[in-house]
Amino acid sequence: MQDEKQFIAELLNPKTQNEAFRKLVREYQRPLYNHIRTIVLNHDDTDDVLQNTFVKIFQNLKNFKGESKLFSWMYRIATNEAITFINQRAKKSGISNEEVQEKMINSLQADVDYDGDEIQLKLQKAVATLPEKQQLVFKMKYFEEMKYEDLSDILETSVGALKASYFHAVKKIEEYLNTN
Amino acid sequence: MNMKKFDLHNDPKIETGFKIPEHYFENLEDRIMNQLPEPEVKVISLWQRKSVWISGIAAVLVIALGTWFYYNQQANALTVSSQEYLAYSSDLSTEDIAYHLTDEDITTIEKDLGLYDSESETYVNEYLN
Repeated sequence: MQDEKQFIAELLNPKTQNEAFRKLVREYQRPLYNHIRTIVLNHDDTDDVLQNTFVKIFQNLKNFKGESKLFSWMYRIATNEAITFINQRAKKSGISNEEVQEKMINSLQADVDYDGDEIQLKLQKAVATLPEKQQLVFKMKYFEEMKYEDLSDILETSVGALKASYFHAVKKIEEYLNTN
Repeated sequence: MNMKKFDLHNDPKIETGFKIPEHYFENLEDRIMNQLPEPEVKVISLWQRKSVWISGIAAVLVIALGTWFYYNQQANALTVSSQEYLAYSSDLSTEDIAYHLTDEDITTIEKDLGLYDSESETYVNEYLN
């Protein structure tokens, strides 16, 4: 924790800010990429959202209160950016978020940056049938293998509620996979 | 033949199937760093620098106008008092004025007004004779 405080101080100090932020990008670019990709699915869109996420992180560093871990705070920004991206796309196209997701999944097969097999694609389709919060919980727990404590910090939801949410998500997905 | 039921807890993990373009992360750091806004440095803007000059010029103008106005007021005060004096003096009769004038003063006034010249003196003398 002391290390994180020291690191945050370096991020806020104009003299050390540049180097400290480079370090932050190096350390978190891959996990944040994977997190955003599970939400927006397409590589190019993930690239845009990831860059926006880091710019937002940089711009808001001075507002970071240290009430949660830096890692959780950054994941929260990335999640918001990814969801905002889908909402904006839906609004632009005049369709619902669910329809946007359906379109994104249907275009996965033709995507050069996707080489999932039949089961993997089926799983993506099954996840897309869940409510937004359950989707997030499932993706972060199953694909990203995050701890419930970290999920709780990022999504600002109790561990108990998250466990229940994940349990329901898994049941629905298994049902989808077994019937489709 | 019955299909095997999916059991996410016990089956091998099903991966996402996402591929990341080769070398993608190699230049990402630089691309992100290039997008960051410049750090805020406290600088005096051009307008602030100008405003110092503008304030200075404005102060000089105020002092100059103030000084001019002050002296102008003083001059007006003098003019007014002279006019008041003359108004008061208009009550005096010609005799009163003449009483205060010497013979030299009268001669000077006559000359200034062109009332006295050699021709008119001759004419007057002839007429009188």
